[in-house]
Amino acid sequence: MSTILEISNLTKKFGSFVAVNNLSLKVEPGEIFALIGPNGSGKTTIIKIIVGLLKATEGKVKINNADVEEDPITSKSYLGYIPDEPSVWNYLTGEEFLHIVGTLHNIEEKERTKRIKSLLKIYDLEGIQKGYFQNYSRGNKQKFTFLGALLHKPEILVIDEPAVGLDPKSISTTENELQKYTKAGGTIFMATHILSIASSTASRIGVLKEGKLITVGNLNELRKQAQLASKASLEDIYLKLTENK
Amino acid sequence: MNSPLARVFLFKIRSALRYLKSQTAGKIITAGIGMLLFLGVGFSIYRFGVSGLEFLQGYILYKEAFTLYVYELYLAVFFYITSFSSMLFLLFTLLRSSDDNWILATPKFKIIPFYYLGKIASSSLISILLLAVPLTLAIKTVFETSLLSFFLMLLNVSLLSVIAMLFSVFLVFATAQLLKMVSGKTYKFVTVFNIMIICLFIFILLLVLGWKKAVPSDFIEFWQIPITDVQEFDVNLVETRFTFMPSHSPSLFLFHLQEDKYPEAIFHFAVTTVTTAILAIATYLSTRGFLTIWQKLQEGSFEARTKINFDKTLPIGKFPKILKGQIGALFEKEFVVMRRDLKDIAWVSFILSLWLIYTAINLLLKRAMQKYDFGSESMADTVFAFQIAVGIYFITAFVLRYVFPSFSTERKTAWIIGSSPVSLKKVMYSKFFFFSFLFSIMGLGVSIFNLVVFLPGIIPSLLYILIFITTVITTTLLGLFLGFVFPNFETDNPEVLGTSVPGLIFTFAAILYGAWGALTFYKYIRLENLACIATFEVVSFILIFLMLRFSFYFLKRIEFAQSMFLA
Repeated sequence: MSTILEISNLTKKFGSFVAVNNLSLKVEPGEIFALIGPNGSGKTTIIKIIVGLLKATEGKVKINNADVEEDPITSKSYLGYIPDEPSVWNYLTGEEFLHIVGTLHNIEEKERTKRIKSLLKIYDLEGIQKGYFQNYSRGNKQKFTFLGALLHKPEILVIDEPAVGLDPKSISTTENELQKYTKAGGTIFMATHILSIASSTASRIGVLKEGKLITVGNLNELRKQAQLASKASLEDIYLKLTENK
Repeated sequence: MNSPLARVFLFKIRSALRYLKSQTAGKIITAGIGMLLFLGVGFSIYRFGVSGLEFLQGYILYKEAFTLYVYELYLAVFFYITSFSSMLFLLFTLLRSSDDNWILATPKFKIIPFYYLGKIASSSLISILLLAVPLTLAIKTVFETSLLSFFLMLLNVSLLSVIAMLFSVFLVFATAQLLKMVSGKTYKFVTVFNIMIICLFIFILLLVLGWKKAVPSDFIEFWQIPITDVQEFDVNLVETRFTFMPSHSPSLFLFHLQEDKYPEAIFHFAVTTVTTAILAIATYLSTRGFLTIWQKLQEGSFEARTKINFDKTLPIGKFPKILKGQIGALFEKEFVVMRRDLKDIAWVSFILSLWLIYTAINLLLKRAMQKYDFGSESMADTVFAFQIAVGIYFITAFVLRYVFPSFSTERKTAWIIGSSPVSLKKVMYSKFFFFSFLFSIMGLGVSIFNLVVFLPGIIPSLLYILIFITTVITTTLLGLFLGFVFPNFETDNPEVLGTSVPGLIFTFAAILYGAWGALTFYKYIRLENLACIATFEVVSFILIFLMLRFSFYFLKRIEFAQSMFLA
């Protein structure tokens, strides 16, 4: 199986400010990769470049060998994106939003309707799908965007803060769904501030600081790099790595 | 500067100044170009005002009455436009917006209505500068009034705009208070929709009553001008028509001051001032208990629950309902989003009603020309051809409000389309098809009405429709094109986006192009010059082709965040 996400020498500048600095990274199929780092370290910028909302100043990003800049239609067909801010057109209903996402991913109407019906059960959203987005709570908006990302059965889920706005039960449901998704062969690339999610779900973690990837590895490898004891939490590792380097 | 209200305004002014600190040279140049265009439009209105007033002074017998009638009508329109836009601003920003919620969470929450009054006033400054200043300058030029008179006239018109703003604030809050009283403790009738419907009803009722009183179905009968034996009549005839209008005293003030009749002018200025004071007190009283109303309005039909009161057996609906594929879904999305947004519907209705009123005036003019056999054939042709220019003026207003900002307002929702396997070409086409279709349908309706009024024959009718539809399509594409060539992701307020320099450039270009279309049609009906129409069509086609061709180049460059702060 080929690498699902390949980032090579990625740099993004906003004017003279370097938001992402020469970052290279590979994510293999079935992995859950978590990117952690302080505010303003470049996590959201990297995610927006991967999904095609921002353009790289230098470097390449490939999804399933499709270059996001040169072949955006193909690369985007492999991914599902869950943004940190679940903004949707206010006057669209939840089910219309899911239908639009499905149509943009070229899913036939009959199949789309079947999938929407089954996805709504995940968060117990049946019935509420006829309400307008502007009247949903933040958590419910987030749940609909999560369902929208799963609708076309993507090869890779790109998630910017998976748990923001969700109640504890919904966080647990989300974690279970993510596990199910990777067991079925899916890959997850996420950026998060919530270290408990990263440590409990991620197979590899990347630590980002000031646009640079300062280290990558599983929990044990990160402990060694931080020169901490075997029981050290991700929080200890994170604080040590981001303060020292 | 210690009052909370002053501090909030100071904070906003400092934010604006801070915005200018980055890329200052570029922003100053942009502002300079905008100012030039602004001055250009103001100067055109001024020149038009001077020519119009000088023309009226040529009518020895009627000049006073005609002049007063122009003032009354001009200021009445000014009043309606200012109060209507203030009302919409209030309904959709103060009553359903979270931008300034932080003020409401402080003990100084009572400043909010006045803070918004200030915001309305600053947004009305454009109409004062663009409509009131050129008029007062034109009066000064034609009647050679003193500098002091000029400033007094300006103050007088500014007071009228304050009256318009206070009236709309009072109307909205008094309606809300009334609904609160009727609802009892539940406040169940206090919704933005109910307030808007009642306010719109009152507003339209006042508009219709004003129209019926001020604009008679027969101008000749109204002026009581015997056709064969013209006699002088006095301005009282005009005065009685406008007595009930809030713009009546400001109009009479202008009229008397230009004639150096100071006692009369002072009297009407006093009436305007007292009206302003009474409305200010009424508005202050109507805003009492504002917080509870505001709290209720934030609720909407909130649906945070997932388990209570929802019918889980409801089948999954269909979308898109009629069309197919990616473009079909995006097309229907545009339609659904616009149809369900009360603010959009209110704006469309308002602009369309102004267009229909204007068209109705043509019907009256045509009837009068037939009945009294005045006006040459060329005058009828001019009026007919002018309809294209007027139609494009209104289409330009629609395009500026809805099409031009349509890419930039996708700022927060851009992730849906931007992360999906759909090309931005298709997004552009869906917007282009939707808006062209919508405006063509609206334009066709009014065109057919005009054709029924003027009855020009089959070929001229078809050519009229051809020119109009071509102009609508080109203007819509131009608005869309400039909208994504100059995307602005710093705000998603369409009114702010529309007043940017690219927005002003679009307005200027669209009006010139519309005028060319009208001239083309005029040349055809007067001189049977078909070559003009052919040239217009070919050039329009080339423009459409070039914009579509180059749009792909610009679309490729779009990033849905222009700075790290938005990323």
